[in-house]
Amino acid sequence: MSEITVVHYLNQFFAGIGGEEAANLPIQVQEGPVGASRLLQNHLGAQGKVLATLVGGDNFVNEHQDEALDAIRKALRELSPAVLIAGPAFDAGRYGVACALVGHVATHDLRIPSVAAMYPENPGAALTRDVILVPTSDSPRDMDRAVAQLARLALKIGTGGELGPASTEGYLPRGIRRPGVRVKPGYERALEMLRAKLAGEAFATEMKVVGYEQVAGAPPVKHLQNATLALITTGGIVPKGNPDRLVRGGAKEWYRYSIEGLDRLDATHWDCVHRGFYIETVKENPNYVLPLDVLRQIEGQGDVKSLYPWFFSTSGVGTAVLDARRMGEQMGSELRAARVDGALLVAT
Amino acid sequence: MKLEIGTVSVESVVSGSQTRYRDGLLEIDADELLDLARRDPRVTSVRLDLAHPGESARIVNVQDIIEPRQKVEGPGVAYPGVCGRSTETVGRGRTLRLGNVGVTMCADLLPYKSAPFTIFRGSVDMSGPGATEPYSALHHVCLTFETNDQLDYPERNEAAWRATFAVADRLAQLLPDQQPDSVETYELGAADAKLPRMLLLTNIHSVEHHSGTVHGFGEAVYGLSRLHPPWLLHPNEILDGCIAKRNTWINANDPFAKALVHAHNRDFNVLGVLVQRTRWSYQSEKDLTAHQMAKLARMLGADGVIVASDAGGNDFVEVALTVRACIRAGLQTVLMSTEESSEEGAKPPWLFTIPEADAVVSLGSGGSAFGRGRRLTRRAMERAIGGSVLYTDGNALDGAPVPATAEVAGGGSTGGRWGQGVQSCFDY
Amino acid sequence: MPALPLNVGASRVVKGSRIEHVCGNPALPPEQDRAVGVQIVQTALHALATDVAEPTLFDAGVG
Repeated sequence: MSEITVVHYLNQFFAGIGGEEAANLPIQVQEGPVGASRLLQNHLGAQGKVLATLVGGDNFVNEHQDEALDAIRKALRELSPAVLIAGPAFDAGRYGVACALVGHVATHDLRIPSVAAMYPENPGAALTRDVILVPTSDSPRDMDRAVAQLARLALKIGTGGELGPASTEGYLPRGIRRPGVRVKPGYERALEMLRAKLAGEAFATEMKVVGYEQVAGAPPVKHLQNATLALITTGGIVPKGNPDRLVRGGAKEWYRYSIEGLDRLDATHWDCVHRGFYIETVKENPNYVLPLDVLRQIEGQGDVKSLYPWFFSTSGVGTAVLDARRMGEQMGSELRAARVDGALLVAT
Repeated sequence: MKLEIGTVSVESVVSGSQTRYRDGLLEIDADELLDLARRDPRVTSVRLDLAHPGESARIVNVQDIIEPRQKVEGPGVAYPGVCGRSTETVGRGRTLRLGNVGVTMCADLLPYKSAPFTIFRGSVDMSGPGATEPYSALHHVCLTFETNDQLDYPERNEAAWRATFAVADRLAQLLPDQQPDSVETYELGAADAKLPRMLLLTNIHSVEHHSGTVHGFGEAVYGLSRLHPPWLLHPNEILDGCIAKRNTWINANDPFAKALVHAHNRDFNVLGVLVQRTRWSYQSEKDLTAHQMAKLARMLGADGVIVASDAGGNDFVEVALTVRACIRAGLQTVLMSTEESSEEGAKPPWLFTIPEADAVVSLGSGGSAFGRGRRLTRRAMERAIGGSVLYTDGNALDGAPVPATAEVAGGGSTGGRWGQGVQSCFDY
Repeated sequence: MPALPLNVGASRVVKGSRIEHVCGNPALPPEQDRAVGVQIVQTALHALATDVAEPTLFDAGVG
């Protein structure tokens, strides 16, 4: 039975170097387990070996991120451990952030799986999906349990084991849902969950519902008469024949089409590709989801200065959030570069 | 309101010179059944095939599976209201069913113009990893229809469904002469006043928005598939076939409705089932139906509700709004729902988020595998019934057809709004 | 369907007519159909020129 190799990242305090006065410590690479890392080595036992302890001053890592992470990357490349372990940071914010950054470098840049531990409210907990996070209490009273968990997960991952669901293995969910099976059919689970809820008994929800990311609104357009506006639709308007082969749903691409010299979109030259709504009305009159006719009138009246000569189109149904975000960023970049002042997005 | 359902079990189905049943053997006269199916002039051709559990066969272009049933006592008929049948209220008396048999309607037919090729079209593997209960365990009498393509879709669908019900009814005529092998009794009697009162709120998609007509063919309550305000049903009505077309077999054998009856006067005082239609067009309509569902639940005296849904996308908005309205109305609310595939965290599980929903049963995501997070691979089959291609992708412009007998990825069913599946999703 | 974009967090949301004809209403005679479209687009322009602190719904007041 061979042992796996790990590298442990600690801050200046848990490495036993000092407190706040040592917070500006640059990255140090120390051989073997140092400070709190000895507890980790105990829990790993004969199954794992702490090759080295990486120590970073909390201020240094937060204020000189690039330099710190370059040093980490270099050290990890040389050491090549099976797993990178960071923390536990408990509720120490700078330490938690450092653990997340170091773990991210290990996993994202070097493909070394990483596990860290911290209090769920620690700002470091929300930074990256690449690091497996063990939840801890807000103070080091939880130290032994947290380190035991870190060791257990590190051994599992380091020996090529597949991680089970977050609730079974004891790590924080990362926003990734995967299929699996339960013991009883859905209707039985629903009836039991309602019974428990009505009786005031504890129950475990099968999905923790989270809200969407909040984005700050852009400042208002000051003078519409001087503004250039762009038109965007997720209604799937394409030139007749769908030359770019826009799909009916799950789109990963968007396309731009010229409206130069056009007063409106007509049914002869334009079509609609979308599986999420009744498209026959729009096929007859595409202006219903891309109101070029109305906007040309408004432009003619001088209420806006001009229209961007291209409209952007995609089919907005079953779109992955990451794809939607990327498409939005691409559209936004183009319009920004073209100094467009505002955009109208018609959604179906 | 007491309903007895007697099962006459079928162990094998063969083609023969007469349509008759004896000791578990169902013999069918294929010519007789084909004549029945061809009667409607809108049907231009029909073929009949048998499929048995365990065979290397895949049935494609499945539009519905209908269990032969006949009411022998009590008001109304089996599958009331569809295809011209009486709309009299069902749910009491005695109904006989042919167990382990489905009359399966296959047609390369869209439900409405411009529909994606994969919508509402099912396929059933009779063996292999893609075989799932309940359909893969049935003997199927498959009718493959061609209909007059000069007619519009509602007409063509109506013709094929009428013909399929006619064949199912012919087989059901064998029932009254038999002694059922087992009888189940369903009744919601008086309940202990201390038990909490609950309702099941279920959500059924209506095709009205997409088909652009109220005559669109879809899942029907007493024959009505159009959008309508919430409708209160007794579980017995559902178990007597009042929800039919599209998912006729599972609706008439609804495990959730059965479980409600069994849970009555044990864990709950079950008040009934409220049916909400989904895929309203206006935001205001979606808001309205949600408000009314919550109001009805309160007027009926419920303490808690289960909201059941297998809707994704636009239909899910009504479901989410209903959950929210129920919670705000002070009802203890559990949502049992499918989720969209999260694609390794690229997508949220629902289109519309309900942060107040603290009690969720997840039915998993449609089309994804069960067990160990790996996609299912459905084995290649020796023969295909119902068509020569299987459409695999609703987003693709042509539906991405493959040969119907091919090995193909995907196919693990969530089990639908009846909650019959064990598929679910877990946080990673 | 304004509830969806508001739920997702879009900052300026204008209520359209119906999903299948967002900027207009083909059930009306052509002039009125056009007027509905104009009203909705004008509301959108007004929204662009309005400062918003959180996801905000702008209602054109027409179907």
